Amino acid sequence: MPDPIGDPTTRALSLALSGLSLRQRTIADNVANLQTPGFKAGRIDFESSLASAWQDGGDPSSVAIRTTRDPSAGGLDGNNVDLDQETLAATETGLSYQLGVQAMTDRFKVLRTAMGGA
Amino acid sequence: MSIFGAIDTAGSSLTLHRTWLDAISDNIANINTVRPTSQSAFQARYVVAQSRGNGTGVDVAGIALGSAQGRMVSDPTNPLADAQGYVRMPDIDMSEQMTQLIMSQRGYQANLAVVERAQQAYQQAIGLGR
Amino acid sequence: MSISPIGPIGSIPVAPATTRATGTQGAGFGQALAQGLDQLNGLQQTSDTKSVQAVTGQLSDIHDYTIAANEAALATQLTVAVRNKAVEAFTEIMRMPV
Repeated sequence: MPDPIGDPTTRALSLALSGLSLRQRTIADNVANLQTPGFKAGRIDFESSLASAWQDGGDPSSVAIRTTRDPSAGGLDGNNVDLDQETLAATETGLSYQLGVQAMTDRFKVLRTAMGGA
Repeated sequence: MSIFGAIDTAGSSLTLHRTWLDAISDNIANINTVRPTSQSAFQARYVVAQSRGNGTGVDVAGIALGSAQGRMVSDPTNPLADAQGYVRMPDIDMSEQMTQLIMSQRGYQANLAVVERAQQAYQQAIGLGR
Repeated sequence: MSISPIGPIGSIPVAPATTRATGTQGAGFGQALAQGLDQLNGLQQTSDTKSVQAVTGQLSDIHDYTIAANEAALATQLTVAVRNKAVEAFTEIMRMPV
């Protein structure tokens, strides 16, 4: 019988939520260092590896969340944090996180319906 | 187009308008920058915008520079004045720059409003059927 | 005048077995239930795939996922309700004194 709680979709969603919350913290760090000379903005990537792992039918929980530094030159002081882009990224990350949490809630609700018999 | 296409598109325009704002503030800051006639005048900066064409917004195509000749102004007491008493002033019109300043601010605000509305719409879509 | 002997009584045509009638009806309901389960499975898988696509940013519209999720949830509730009614009916029948 397939495991209803630890199945691939739930693991994929939980990994995505971890990645998104790490991204929110990274954005906050970037904005806090808006005036720091030489500071390079942090970037989080998990989407591409999660999407390919999901399509290949692999184990989503083995996907790593990568943290990189944006190497672009930036302004005169070497700081490459773009406030507009960080603000928009924060908005989008918040929306994606809401979506992910809603997706998890839906899955557990369906399980409860099936178990409890409506 | 990404899942939050409207927000990305508005974001590209926010970057453009902020670059425009930076250029205008540079022009206004240097409106009285005097140069000797042997050098070119301070050149005003104009931002060139280019639509991405596939419905995803706009890019800064480049920065165009204004007139290098400037205006020849007679100012014999200026230490940079040449033999005839002329100096070069930049060819920047303050009222034109102020108009552009207001336009860039309005453009920036309009795009922020798009982001806000799109965010509300997406949130309602996420809560569909609850 | 000869009287012919009484012949044997011919066999009485019997009505077809009632089990056959309920058999066809039973197969119809069973088929419908099996179809419903297949459809539910399909809907749940679609909803799963769309949810992962949504969080990895591959979906072009959010409502694609939310509509699929709602369909799967409604189908689950419907299937569960049918199952409950069927079990209730079965229990009722079993309780009947023979």
